[in-house]
Amino acid sequence: MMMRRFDTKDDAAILSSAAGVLQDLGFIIEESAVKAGLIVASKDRDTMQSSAVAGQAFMAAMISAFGGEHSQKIRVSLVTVPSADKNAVVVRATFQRVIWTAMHQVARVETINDAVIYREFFDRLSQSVFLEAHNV
Amino acid sequence: MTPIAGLGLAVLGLMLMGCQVDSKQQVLHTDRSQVEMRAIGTRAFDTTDRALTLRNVIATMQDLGFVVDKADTALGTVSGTKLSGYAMRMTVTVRPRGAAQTAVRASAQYNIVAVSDAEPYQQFFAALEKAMFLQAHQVD
Repeated sequence: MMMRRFDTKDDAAILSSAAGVLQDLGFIIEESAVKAGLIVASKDRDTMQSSAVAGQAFMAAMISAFGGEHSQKIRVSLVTVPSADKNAVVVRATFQRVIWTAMHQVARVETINDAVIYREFFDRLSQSVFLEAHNV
Repeated sequence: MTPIAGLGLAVLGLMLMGCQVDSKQQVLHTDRSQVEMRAIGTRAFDTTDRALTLRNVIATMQDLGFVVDKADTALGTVSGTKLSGYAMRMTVTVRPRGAAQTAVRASAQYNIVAVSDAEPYQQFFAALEKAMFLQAHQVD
């Protein structure tokens, strides 16, 4: 679920595409080491979809009053490893998040294990690798 | 508790649950489309000197009050933070574009919100143009 194989030997190009996709998603790159095949990034967001909720101010007030979840830091580490047969690059991603209440107390920490999220992320990465390989 | 108050609480509970389920979607959520964001945050410069471009990006970020957190010449990325009553974090990537150009892409967050307005990026690129002595071309 957290891995995808790319049929290329150019793992620097994969990392470069991955940096672009993470930027598309609003992540800030915190750490990177091309020779080690690593990118670490994060973004800080509220715990609601900003555009989705009508009466958001009311909801935010209610959530604060109830001591509910308010903001979150979403972290991702992305690692590339040559495949066993050396003909491909295997990309592995792990998303985690820390969620705070409006009082800045940690409400929850977790690793994100939704297959749909990883699938969509890797689909975007595949698309970006393809586009960049063809210089679009 | 009156039935109406009970119903009100039940609805509120459902709404709160709805929010908590939704919040995981922030992993992939963006306010604008990928294409729009790339257009807003990307400019092309008529140079192939990626290293010099990266240095100018760092200098420009410093001029604008950012403290650089991380720079990677191999990947072509710079990340920095500006603290001024707010926390703004920004990543800028520099990569070759065709045979004669270098593309600079910026993306930022303001406190816990993605920066998706064009104006802050325009300001950044206006400052970068001056540092580079080169015109920033819009990329479509």
